[in-house]
Amino acid sequence: MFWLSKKHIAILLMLPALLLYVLYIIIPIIMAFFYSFTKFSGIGEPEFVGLKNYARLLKDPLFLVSLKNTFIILAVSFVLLLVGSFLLAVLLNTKIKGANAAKALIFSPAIIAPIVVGLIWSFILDPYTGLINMFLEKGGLDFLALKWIGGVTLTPYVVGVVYTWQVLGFITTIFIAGLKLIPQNIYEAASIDGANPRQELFFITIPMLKQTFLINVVLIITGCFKIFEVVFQLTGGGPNHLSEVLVTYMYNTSFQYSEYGYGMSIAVVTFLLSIMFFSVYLLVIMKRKEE
Amino acid sequence: MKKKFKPLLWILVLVMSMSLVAVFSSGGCKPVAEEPVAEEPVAEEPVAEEPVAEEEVTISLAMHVANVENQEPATYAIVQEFMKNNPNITVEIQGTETDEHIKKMKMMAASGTLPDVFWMLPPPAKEMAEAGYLGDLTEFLSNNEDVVARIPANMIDAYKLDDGTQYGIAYQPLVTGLWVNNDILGKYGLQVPETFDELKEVVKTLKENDVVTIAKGAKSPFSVWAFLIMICRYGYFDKIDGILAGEASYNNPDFLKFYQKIDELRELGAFPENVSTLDYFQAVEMFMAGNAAMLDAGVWEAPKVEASEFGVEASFWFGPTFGDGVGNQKVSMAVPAAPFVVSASVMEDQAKANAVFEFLKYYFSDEAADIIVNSQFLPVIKYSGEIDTTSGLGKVLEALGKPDWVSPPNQPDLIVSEAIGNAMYDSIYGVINGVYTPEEALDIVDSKIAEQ
Repeated sequence: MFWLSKKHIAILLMLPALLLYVLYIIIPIIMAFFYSFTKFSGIGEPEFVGLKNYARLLKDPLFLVSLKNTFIILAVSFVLLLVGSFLLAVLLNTKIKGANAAKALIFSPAIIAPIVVGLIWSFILDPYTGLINMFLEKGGLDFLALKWIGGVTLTPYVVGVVYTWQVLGFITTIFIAGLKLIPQNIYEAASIDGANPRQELFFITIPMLKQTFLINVVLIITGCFKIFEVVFQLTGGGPNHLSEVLVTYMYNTSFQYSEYGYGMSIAVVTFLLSIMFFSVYLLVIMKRKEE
Repeated sequence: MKKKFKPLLWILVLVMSMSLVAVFSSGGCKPVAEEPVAEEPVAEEPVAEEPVAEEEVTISLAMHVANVENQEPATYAIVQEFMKNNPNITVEIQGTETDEHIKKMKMMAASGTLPDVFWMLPPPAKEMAEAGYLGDLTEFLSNNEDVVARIPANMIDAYKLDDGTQYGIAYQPLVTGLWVNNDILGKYGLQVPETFDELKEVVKTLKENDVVTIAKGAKSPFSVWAFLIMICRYGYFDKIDGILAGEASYNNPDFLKFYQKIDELRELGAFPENVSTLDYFQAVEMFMAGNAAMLDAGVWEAPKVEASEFGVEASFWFGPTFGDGVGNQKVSMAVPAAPFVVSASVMEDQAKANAVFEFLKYYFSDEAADIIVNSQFLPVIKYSGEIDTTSGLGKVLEALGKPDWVSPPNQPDLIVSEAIGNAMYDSIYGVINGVYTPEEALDIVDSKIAEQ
């Protein structure tokens, strides 16, 4: 046996990464939990207030708005990303001309910094100076020139679409990797048995991509709960916090309002919600697996 | 093959571990403060006024703009001149955008790594002073009576704790209001209004001609200076102490009238249609490009206004008076801007303290005031030099010089906590954006006050 596979060597090699993970992920999470029970302006000593911040969350209309917006983005991007990226992966996995170039182009938004993504889309979506409404008005479709951002309703849906655009290539790449792992002889055998492409898709491809679906669902859920830069750049959470998501509201509460304790309670709730969503999904998958 | 790999892998583990140690020891990834947070009271030992030692001293100055040379040209020029006059003192300038700067200073205070001198917003500066992070400048002032004589009392008194600790000195006067493009007004036969009713007529005429009256950007919530002056005309300073003490409500009949005025302006189309997606800098661009008649800003835009095509005809205005206002309607706004403060740790190093005090002495000198005026900004000190009345700065001074116009002691948002100040911005922009009714806007501020 190759000596590297000994347990203690493996642990030793993982130690540096583990140390960094504990220092920059685990400890800040614990500190956030601690500060969520305090009133702290960022200066001086925090004042312990117990569950006051959490009680305030339940009555805070802006928190509920940010929660609603986050769920809207999650719903929109979940549907668009999961379905869209899977179908795109199936298409790009076939031997079509230009598939490689298409893969590169589709993946390219994923390498753009999220703040730049927000900036680019603000020029496209601005209701008065943006490209979309400009083209619509020039084409005589004024009635379709809606307030995509800066209004009171559409922003979270639009953010879902922008997030989908940004992450589609990345999720598609993971699906393509999963598709490549499916043995071709299964498709050959199915083809011999008379299965058509639709049957191959539903009875071979999708079941064999269960783990890939699981990975992508986790990525989409956690990604949606982490959205910040796109919203920050598109609207700043405005007008008047109506397009806030959990992270931007936490950021504004902590750093604009200097209410670090309350901001950390929002961060803790965000953390718990994302774990809860993922856990529920995992339980459903595990249950189906058992059945 | 296995034997060759073994030593190589051990070397790799060793190198990775050493690099981690190097990172932590260099301070690049300091997880915990190296020094205890300064909790002791502000240093009380008198700072001896010895002649500046000839030893080389480096002091750090942190400003609230990303590019100090371009965005704070006066301060930058003063630093360069100071270093020429004091070759043994090096001033390292650090610049960060305002929000980031404030966060950074708070984190640096907690980790004991504050710069020697820095700009800070008044509410957190006061908190920092109360927490012992800032040096006491009382001795500096008492040993430099010539400096004190040059600075208006309110620029010093604004940054004094109840126990007499002098934790800062205003770095500039804050003069805010509305810049007016008189070319646009003249084109439609209009003049700078005086009353709110006259302003409404101006708005109606400009709206009919698709001209924005007041350029504003809601993505920069702090950009409500002109409206903070206007609320003073509804008895803000008579009421605010009672409101903060819980004896009165922010949602009161007088303030309601004011917010209803904002709503009227919104309905008449005084603001850009895309105000909710613009930020302050875009609003400035809109005004400077001649696409808006007025800009809600302050004296800091004087250089840009002067350089604009309409600069010669521009004017500065403190906003309309109100027929249903409360108290004096001739309210201007020339208050202490944010202070320069000094880190408490400076007081423990004699050479550094002397260097910092020399810098402050120079900053509040006549020579520095000339530099500030030449950069089209107003100096803190009483300035006896000549200012070109046709310049942008001259127009601000013209507005300030109008008889019977009096400034309050401070800007309304600077005498409340950051959270309440932000709620005020939110309430004003909420009405401008059409998101809140005037009543809802007032309740927003009341809720925030109750939470404190």
